[in-house]
Amino acid sequence: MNSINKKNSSKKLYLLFDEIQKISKNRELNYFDLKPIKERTSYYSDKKVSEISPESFEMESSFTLDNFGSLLEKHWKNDGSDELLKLIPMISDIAKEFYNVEKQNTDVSPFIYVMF
Amino acid sequence: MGKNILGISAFYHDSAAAIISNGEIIAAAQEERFSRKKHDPRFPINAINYCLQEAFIEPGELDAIVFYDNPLRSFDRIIKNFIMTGENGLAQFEKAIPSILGVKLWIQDYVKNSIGTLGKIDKLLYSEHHLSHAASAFYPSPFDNAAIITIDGVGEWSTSTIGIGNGNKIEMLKEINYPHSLGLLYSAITYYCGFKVNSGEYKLMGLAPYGKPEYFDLILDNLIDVKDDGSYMLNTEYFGYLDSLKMTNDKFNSLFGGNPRDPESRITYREMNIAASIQKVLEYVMLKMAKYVRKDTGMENLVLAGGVALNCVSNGLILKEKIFDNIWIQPAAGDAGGALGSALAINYLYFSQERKLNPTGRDSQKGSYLGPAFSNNEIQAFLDRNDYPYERIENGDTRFTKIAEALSEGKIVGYFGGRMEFGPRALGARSIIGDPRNIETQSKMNLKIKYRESFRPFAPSALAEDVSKYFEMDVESPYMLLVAPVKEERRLPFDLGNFLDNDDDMIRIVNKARSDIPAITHVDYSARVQTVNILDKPDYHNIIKKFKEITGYGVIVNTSFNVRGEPIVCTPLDAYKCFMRSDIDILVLEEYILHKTNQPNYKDKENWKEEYELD
Ligand SMILES: [Fe+2]
Repeated sequence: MNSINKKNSSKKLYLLFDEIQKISKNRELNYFDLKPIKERTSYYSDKKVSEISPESFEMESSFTLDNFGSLLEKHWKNDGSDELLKLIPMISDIAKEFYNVEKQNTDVSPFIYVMF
Repeated sequence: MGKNILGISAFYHDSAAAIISNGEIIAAAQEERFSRKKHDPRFPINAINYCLQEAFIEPGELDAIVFYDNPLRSFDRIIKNFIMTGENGLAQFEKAIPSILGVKLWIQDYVKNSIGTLGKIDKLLYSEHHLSHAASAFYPSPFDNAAIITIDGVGEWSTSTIGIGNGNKIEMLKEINYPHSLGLLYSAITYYCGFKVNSGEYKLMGLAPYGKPEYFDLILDNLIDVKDDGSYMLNTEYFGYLDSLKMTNDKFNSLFGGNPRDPESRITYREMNIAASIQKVLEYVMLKMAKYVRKDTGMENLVLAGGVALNCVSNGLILKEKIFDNIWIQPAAGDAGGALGSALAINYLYFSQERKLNPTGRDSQKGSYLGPAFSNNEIQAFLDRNDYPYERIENGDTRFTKIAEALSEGKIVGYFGGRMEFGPRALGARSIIGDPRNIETQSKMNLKIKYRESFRPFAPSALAEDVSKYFEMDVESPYMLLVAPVKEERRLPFDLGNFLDNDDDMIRIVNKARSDIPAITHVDYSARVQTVNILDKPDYHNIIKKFKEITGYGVIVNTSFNVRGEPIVCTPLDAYKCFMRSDIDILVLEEYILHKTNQPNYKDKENWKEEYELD
């Protein structure tokens, strides 16, 4: 990433942060409780699905830069987090800029365990 | 048809790979052992290559490849966390978002780039983080059915889960979710006491016996609310991990009356007391949870995994209270073990393979000796090529006797034999061993080998059949995950209170003999016991047996084969380097014995003391 691109990416990063702040202010949000609720008798929650199906391992399988946005959209629609959907284009955009999967871990030589 | 499955964990802490074939655990290893970077979190390409090679499996022959965690759901948590924390979260946001959107989400690309395939099903599978832990605890256990508890910092949203394993099935029943986390609470206090989060927790546990739990009520009144069933919630106002790059915040500091300890500064009574207090809180929660789970599930057996399950003091207490008839703990309880667990989950829950218990009644973890081994030919070639003088003793009996004799004379031995251990503890395949009767063993091992002073004593390896002669313990502890008291009749009078009143130099205290096996007895007379069964590790068992023939003691000192801050050695070259960099007297590489006094001058090319940092 050259320095101009770097600047653009960090600008996008702060735009996303601003957008998150807007959601944060505009909604009566409660993704989780911040303090104990002493009246409750137990703090365990039941797992939504206790039995594990083979499909559960595939649900979000094979996500790549190309389909990540649509999988995230599906996920947020499913769990009722519609207020987050407008973040997805920005998130996808930032992912494209920051994407940094190297061909190899260059500073670690492969096959060292047969090193001599 | 049996399935070949590769499991991978990466990008958070201690990445690893594991391979199973037809339900059998063939190989598992942490990346750090190959890359020589402690707790290496990078994509574990070396560990993957090793696993494939050990299993004689080409990447194209893999039926499935699975990642131990679902990064999309972790991303969901991260975004929602930033919405909850508002503007305060900026510093964490700037750090977290580029790393997750740039690297951590794209496991599939990493897999494709490194081995060129996603397996026969042509898609990467994801196992939920705590399901991976649960599977790592249940499937290798010797139980047909068991209750399952997993507890760690956080994985996706979960921080603790309760489940049931039955045959080849696992059901996940209950959970506690982020930000309420016993693991993060323990880590926050680890940080506050000046130790490294994710690795210093073990030190905090070792510090606890020096202190008094004076802050126990303070923690329960302010930081965590615990219900009778062991469920809990934290008051997040005191913690920094939600919205900063620190674990604790100013409010936490004022509650405990001061800033976190500077890692370089001396440990004081305050840290000892805080360590004792959080340890007591952890045990308080774990005991309640275990009792509830026993009652709720009706199961007689318990299996445990997740980073908190490495707390062998709390494990020892659950055992002592006899809440369950039997307990099994995954030795790679941290996230490295998630690689193994996710592969097992796919075998049984995705491919519905039949589960066969080990017919001997023992577990299927193979003693956790799941890493690389080196043949005598390879070792000889290495020694000859470098002109390192050695003596080869092919006869096992003679060799083990020779090692035992050296130990009984106070020599420190670097022992390298068989396949490397999977998990954080050295279990006699890559171990530095010594004489536990000798009061000097401890300080010599600390100062001249580990290059550190430690307030923690070393761990004992005892013959499984003799363990109750030394410790108040009548079960096996093959993975050093249980703490037990040294037998009453072996103890020497020692009043910690007296000591602390006059002197807070813990090193002097720990170096004072407290039993007839002083090198392994902690200040509260406890020991982190490894029992050695001849079925798991015959060579190591034999060394201890010979030591017993000479000295009358069926127990030796065992510490990991590394210098401070270095990953445990993997290859003969790593072992040789560590041997020459330290005051280890004798190096054993399978059938080859090397004496320090015979070795040529060793010129270190690397500036290793700076290379490795402290936990
Ligand atoms: Fe975990």
